Amino acid sequence: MENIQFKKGVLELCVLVLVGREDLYGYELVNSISKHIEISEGTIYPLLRRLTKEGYFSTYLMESQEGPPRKYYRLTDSGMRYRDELVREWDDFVGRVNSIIRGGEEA
Amino acid sequence: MTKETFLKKLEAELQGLDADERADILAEYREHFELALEAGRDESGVALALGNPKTLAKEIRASVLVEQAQQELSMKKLFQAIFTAASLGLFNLLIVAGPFVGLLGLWAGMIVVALAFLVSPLIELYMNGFPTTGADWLQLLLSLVLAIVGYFLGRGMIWVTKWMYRWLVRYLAYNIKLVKGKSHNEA
Repeated sequence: MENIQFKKGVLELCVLVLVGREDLYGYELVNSISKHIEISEGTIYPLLRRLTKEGYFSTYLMESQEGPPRKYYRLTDSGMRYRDELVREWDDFVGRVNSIIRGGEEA
Repeated sequence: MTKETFLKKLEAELQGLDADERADILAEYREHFELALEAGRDESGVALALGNPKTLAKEIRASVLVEQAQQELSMKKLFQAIFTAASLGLFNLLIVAGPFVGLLGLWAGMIVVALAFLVSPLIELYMNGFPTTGADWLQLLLSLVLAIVGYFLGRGMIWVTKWMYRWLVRYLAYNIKLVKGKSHNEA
């Protein structure tokens, strides 16, 4: 259970950023994340559900050429604000960690 | 594990949730399976990558119950939410149940004090009978003052109870967010 909160926060950030780029359905989203980060794929869905309940995503169903209709997620205005806030926090955090790693520079 | 086994297990673990909500959640995992199979992945591999249905169901149930407890003031919902949040792990049991038991004790103590103050004139009358001497009257007067204090304490406690409920629910919601990431490693 190393870095529970860290991983969880990062996952939330990734989901918000990806859906912010274009509307995505769950499977697409899971794939684009698990390509880069090792996760238990099923946990993305509860996360999507929670972010939707919190008003950061809206959802809609869209038919596809093959297979069943897909549930798409779209970032809402409050979702964008939340994402921007998380991205800022992340950049700030990474900047500080880097300045420690590189050393020398004013810590 | 096959697709149907996974979905059945998940469905069984989601018992007790609103039927629409459950159908919605299951549909999403079903869609995931179908798209993965279309892409040429095999059922058991997909199920494995999704993780343990029991763990997933616990996460989902916990957040649903907290949402419900947030929407309506109900002791039953609150206890359900606490229980489910606690079942996410022993670590969680400690950080959820610890403060809860402490607060509950304090709360019960205050209620008892308020009640005791409130009934003190009755106890006074019962113990000493109708006041005859000046000292008796003074005691009765004091117990009436206590009763008034008890009355306001009681009203305050009703207010405190509502606030405690809200804070507890908020604490649970925060707590579930905190523990959620754990299931990666349990899968």
